[in-house]
Amino acid sequence: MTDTEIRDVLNRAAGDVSPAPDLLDRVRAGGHRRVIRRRTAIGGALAVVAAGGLAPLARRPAADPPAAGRVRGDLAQDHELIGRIRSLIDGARVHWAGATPAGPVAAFVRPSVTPGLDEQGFVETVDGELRGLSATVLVASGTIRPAAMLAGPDRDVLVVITGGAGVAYSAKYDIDAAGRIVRTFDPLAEVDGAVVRPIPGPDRSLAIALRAENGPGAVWLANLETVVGDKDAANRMPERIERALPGRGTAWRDEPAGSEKDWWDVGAQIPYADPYGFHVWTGPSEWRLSGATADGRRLVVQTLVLDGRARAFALAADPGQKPRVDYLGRLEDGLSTDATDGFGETYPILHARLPQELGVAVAALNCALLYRVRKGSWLPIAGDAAVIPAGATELEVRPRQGRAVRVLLP
Amino acid sequence: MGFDDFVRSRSTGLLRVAYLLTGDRHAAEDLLQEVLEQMYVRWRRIEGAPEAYARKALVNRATNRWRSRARRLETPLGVQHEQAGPDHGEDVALRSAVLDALRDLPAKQRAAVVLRYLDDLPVHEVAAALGCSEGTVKSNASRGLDRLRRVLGPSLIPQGVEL
Repeated sequence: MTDTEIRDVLNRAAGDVSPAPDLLDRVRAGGHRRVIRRRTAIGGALAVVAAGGLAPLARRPAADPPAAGRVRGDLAQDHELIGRIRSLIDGARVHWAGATPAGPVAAFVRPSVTPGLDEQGFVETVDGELRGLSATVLVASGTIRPAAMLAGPDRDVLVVITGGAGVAYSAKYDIDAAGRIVRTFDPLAEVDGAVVRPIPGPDRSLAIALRAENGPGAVWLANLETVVGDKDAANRMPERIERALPGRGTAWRDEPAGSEKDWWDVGAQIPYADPYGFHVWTGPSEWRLSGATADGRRLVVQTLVLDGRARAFALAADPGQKPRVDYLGRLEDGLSTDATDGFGETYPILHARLPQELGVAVAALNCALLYRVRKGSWLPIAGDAAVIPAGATELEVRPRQGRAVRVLLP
Repeated sequence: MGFDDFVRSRSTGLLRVAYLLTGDRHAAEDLLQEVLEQMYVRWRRIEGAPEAYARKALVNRATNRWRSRARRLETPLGVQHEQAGPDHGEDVALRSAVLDALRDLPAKQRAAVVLRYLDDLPVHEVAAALGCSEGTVKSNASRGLDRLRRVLGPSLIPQGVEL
């Protein structure tokens, strides 16, 4: 085959894929929530909400009441307020308007640019003026989904629109001895379609969770990014680093599929995630090393990050068997060491001892690694991640730029 | 060019790249949406050509991606995506063979081949997207092509595909 033929083959293989027609709407809606991000001036339809201007709270002549649908909330009859919200958000139908300790707050829907989909969002009060939150979520036309926002300068007033689903609240989470996320949920008492509740002000992370009991489960939080400081807001990549270790080829000859695939990915298992919590990803990168034990079983060593703190896990089992999840602990508790490279950048060195004398998982992105046993010779490691023998006592890490670092392996 | 125009004019090409990088239509759509979301938030701070930024982000994420969690739960249900038209038999066979062959390539070789020969990028732009030297691009593309030739040649020619 010639280069031209390769081009033709690749073009024909990819030729008929095309994006979903609502891609732009989805991007706009999801762009505010996926990972941490700076509050930034944005374009497109959402900017109409964000930059539609500030509407003073001072009384104006009464506006017409909303044309369609009953407005809920204790400010539903404040037609002047409702009118100003509608003038602030083009095409908005106010779903709920209520008084909160942070001033009037409203929830609205309006048609999106995609037929059959509406945008759902919030209006809050900032320094005595109404302002639309920049993030909106797409919903099927004519519906309201469970949604929430944090109001007030300290973001300590929780406003929940239930959308007809009973919503339960959890104030915080704990991590149990097996590395699982543990929460207690209590039902929220809804008043005319919404809940307003003071909560402790978040400090760069948010511990609460909301669960819709009779609906989609997850509750959309419109302004998660406001609890994260700008300096944390860079998108750090990669989020996950995958490495195949020696011996993987044989043990993983039949790659797991379907639910069996999730057996080997702790991050896909609900007890170890926090599906109803609200988290932003601020790093560090997550590792997932897959290989084989000395006796030929499959082996995975994985780290999971939640609110900037990482937990380490190990899984080992024969092909076809469900592995037990062994919790190794938090990286900050002696499983990781921070070093600085020649560019002045801090990088983490993973060194987690595995159970059953399976070895020590070591990793440092884009670094050369060596290990030794007591005062023996330094032995090179292929790649920047490995499981080295359990007898290893010391690790040397050589970044591409900068001085090598030695780490004692407990 | 504004963000909306960028998405409208470039998303098909970027999706094709993502498709061949991931080998999966849905994974490609997810990947592209994630990258565009990232760009949407940073749009005014993206330096240089946004398409180059998008390519680099696609490659980075495709290389490091294996996340079944963290899907966006706010995605509305029941939205009809545009579907590909019906395939001819030979195209089905070709696509399957190409995706299988690409899947077996190391990530860097796969990315070099896709950007160089699907996107038709010059070597220096591929190097920028992959964050490596032009020499590395050439060697990765060359090795990737050699493997593709070995795999695709015999499997496709007997099925009547004109090559």
